[in-house]
Amino acid sequence: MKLHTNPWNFNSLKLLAAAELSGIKLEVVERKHDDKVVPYLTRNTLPVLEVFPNKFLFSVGAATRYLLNQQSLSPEDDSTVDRWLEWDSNQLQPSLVPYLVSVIGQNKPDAFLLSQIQTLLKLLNTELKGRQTLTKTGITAGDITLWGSLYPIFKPGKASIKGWEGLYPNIKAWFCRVEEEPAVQKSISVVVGGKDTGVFKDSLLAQPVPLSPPTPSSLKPDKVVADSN
Amino acid sequence: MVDTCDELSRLATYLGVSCGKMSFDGKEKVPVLKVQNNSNPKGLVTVAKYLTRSSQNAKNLLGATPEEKAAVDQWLEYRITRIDRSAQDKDVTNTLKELNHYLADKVYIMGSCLTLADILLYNGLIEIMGGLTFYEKETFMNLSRWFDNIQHQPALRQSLGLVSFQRNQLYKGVKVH
Repeated sequence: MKLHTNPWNFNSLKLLAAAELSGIKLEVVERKHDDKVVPYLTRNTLPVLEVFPNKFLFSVGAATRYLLNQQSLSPEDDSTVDRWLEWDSNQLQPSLVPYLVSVIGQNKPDAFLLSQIQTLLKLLNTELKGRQTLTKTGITAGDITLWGSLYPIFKPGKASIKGWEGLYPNIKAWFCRVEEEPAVQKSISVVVGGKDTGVFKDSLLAQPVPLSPPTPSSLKPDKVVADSN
Repeated sequence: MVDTCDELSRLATYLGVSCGKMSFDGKEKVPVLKVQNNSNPKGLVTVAKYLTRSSQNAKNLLGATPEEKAAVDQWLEYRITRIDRSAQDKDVTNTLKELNHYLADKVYIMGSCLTLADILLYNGLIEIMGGLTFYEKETFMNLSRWFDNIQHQPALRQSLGLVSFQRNQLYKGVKVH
């Protein structure tokens, strides 16, 4: 199985950790930041998992879950994993990625995006109360995915949120628990190699940013039209 | 966008399950299902998968193999993160191009079997497809063929309107995406 990735892509942390946890050997194909791998996509999205020749998984969450291969999870745990993968792609990433671009990429941290991320972290902190992992069964694709997403704002570097350990103690305990895994440590050493999160810069600037939810101001014109009818 | 709570109750009807008490989380702007053990699945995809799992005869709608399950998950995510968020014309065109290219050699999203991915993509695309001109529908020929096939399953469409497609080619020399 091939993993196509550009150098210094923080999303690859998740796939490498998942493969390592389940003992799957990935053939890593190093790509340029703007390489287009999936023939039918208009975007240069990376990383991409090539499950069979020409069968691609371009969703990092779905690929992470596939690599972890936890088919014996209970329906309830499966549903919890669904919830957190959906939250990551639907709520967290659309604020997180543009924020990382603003602070690591352009050195101009966007205060509005940061406040959105802080609201999301508050919710996650509440949900993690009394829990070591998102499900009772131990580490799942939900934990690996959220850990990888939050890595750039919790680890040393420009995007690190000041005082997060004190603000979100439950997240801190959970984050440390995930990082105790040797497989997770190994993925960090492969992707980041002892450097700070500034190494993500070129990849962040070249990769597509998730589409954001419609904002109240972008919805206004429609409303005006509806009123005049 | 089609109302997600209505969409989920149509899905529950299709699956032959009760969708129970559904509400809308205003903060996250996602549907929530109230269930007995209080695990309360939250989010369109999470609730849709929960309903599908609780149906006796619909297990394969989530994919038959681990590879298919992952691919279904990927297209469900595509629905909420791409289709529902394509606000500008450029994003809409890219989304339609991508799906049209992907569907070139497929009857359903997973190839030859209907899955939850077809159902959620169909619901997410109704408004966009309904707003296209006949000329545009012809340029996205594979996508139009797939969409028309899905909407002609009355159990899936239920009360939704039909989007009209021409069976014969209207325009000469259409540049197909």
